[in-house]
Amino acid sequence: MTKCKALSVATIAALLLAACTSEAPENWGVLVDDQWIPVFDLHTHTGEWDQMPPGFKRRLSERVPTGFKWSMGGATDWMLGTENILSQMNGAGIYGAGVFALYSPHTTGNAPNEFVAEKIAGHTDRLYGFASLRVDRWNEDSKEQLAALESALTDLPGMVGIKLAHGHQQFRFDDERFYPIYEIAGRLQKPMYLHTGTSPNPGTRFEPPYADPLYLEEAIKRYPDAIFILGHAGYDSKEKALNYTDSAIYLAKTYPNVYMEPGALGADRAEDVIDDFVTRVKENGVLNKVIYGSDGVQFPGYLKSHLEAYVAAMQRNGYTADEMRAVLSGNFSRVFGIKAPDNRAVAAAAAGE
Amino acid sequence: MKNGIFDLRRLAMPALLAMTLSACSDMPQEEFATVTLNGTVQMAAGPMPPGALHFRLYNLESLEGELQHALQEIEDFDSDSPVFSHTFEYPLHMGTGLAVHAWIDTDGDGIFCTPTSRLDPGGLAYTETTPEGEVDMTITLSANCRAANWFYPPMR
Repeated sequence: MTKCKALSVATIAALLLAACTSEAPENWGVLVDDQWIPVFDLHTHTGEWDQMPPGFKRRLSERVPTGFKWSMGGATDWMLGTENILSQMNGAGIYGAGVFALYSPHTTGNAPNEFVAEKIAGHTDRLYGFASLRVDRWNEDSKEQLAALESALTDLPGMVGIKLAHGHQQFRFDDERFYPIYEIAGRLQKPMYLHTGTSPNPGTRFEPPYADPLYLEEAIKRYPDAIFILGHAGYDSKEKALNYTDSAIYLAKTYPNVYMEPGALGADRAEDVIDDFVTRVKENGVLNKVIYGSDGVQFPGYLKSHLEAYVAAMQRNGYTADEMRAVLSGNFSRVFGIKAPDNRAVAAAAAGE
Repeated sequence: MKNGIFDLRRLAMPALLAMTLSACSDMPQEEFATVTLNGTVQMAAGPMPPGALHFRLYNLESLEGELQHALQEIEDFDSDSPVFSHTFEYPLHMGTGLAVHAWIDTDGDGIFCTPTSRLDPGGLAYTETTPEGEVDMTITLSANCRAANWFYPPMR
């Protein structure tokens, strides 16, 4: 680490830690109709500045004024660190969260499986790892990559699923060379999170074969034992439109092994479409297939603001408490076999009863 | 006058600090070379079907270390003719070599194959040499619905 980076890490970390640290709440979850509903956030990211390509660094740096760009390395490493993820979860009342590995050197960079395992170590009751693999030299090294994925899923503690981002990793949904990944997911019973729709990150593929989950239908049919969670539920973030959401709903409605995640739909960027989204999934009868996620922890307070926006949208659009419970934790618990602690039991334990 | 100098110093100090710290930035310096690609598209077998030709240019290899990867997109362009010429700014700071992917939109839907329409042929030509000035390439369309990474790196 350079002296510059060390200085920025120390300064930013000290300032932000002092300002933003949250302790575990008295009650986990969100309060709806006098009931505490537990919350899992399927979708968060870890990573580090040094593993990001120039285009993505430039995009992140646009968020700070000229003269402060030197601070981005330290601020990013702090933001994506374990303490901040847990602190943001505490602040939002979120009990557990998925933490994704990435191998997207074209776009958002790398967060290797071993790095993620290290980040969640000691917290695997609340942080759940999703392993991934490189696909950019598939003709040369697919066997090695598949073996490494399988090894990460079976040998690294806390790995509960697989993360893929076709648009970031630049491989088509309908390219059957990659179907062995889905075979592993089914055989090892590790649900897959697959980024669908687009993203504003530079280098992302925006064309339908990388964004429209309908291109996955053949794979979904061919691997019924593999669980496909359609990340962002087909939200076209670049166009701020629900361009591929109906494809995601169709697949979730048709196939028992398909679920959806509404990551980033609670962000400010999506405020014009969130009501349409929560209404569409409710009217189509697929609330038993929606697993809440945020795509955090993008900035201080993001996990909380995303959750509040999503809960408010569900309330505005007539969701019952049971429907909200299914989306926020019930479906996650059913798919991953992970349950949130009961608030009363936690309180009783704390009181020594 | 004295107050003026004092105010200037107060402004200059943070500016100097910011400039000094900006030197810590690890963003690469951008560097481009103007390249003209003269190309020809041909079919591996049979006559060339009608339809608009779409092209995407890539650095063949990009970045270093753990971030090194194949096929970093540079830009897209279209042509109505299989014989074409296209001038572009090649990003030297992003990598080496040049790859050109081409496909024909045989059904005119603007999409390189859909789940039900699988007749758009594609192909890739590449060179490991970083391009300078004028470059000549021939792209052979040999497989329907195949993206650039189906052709490169070549099958081991």
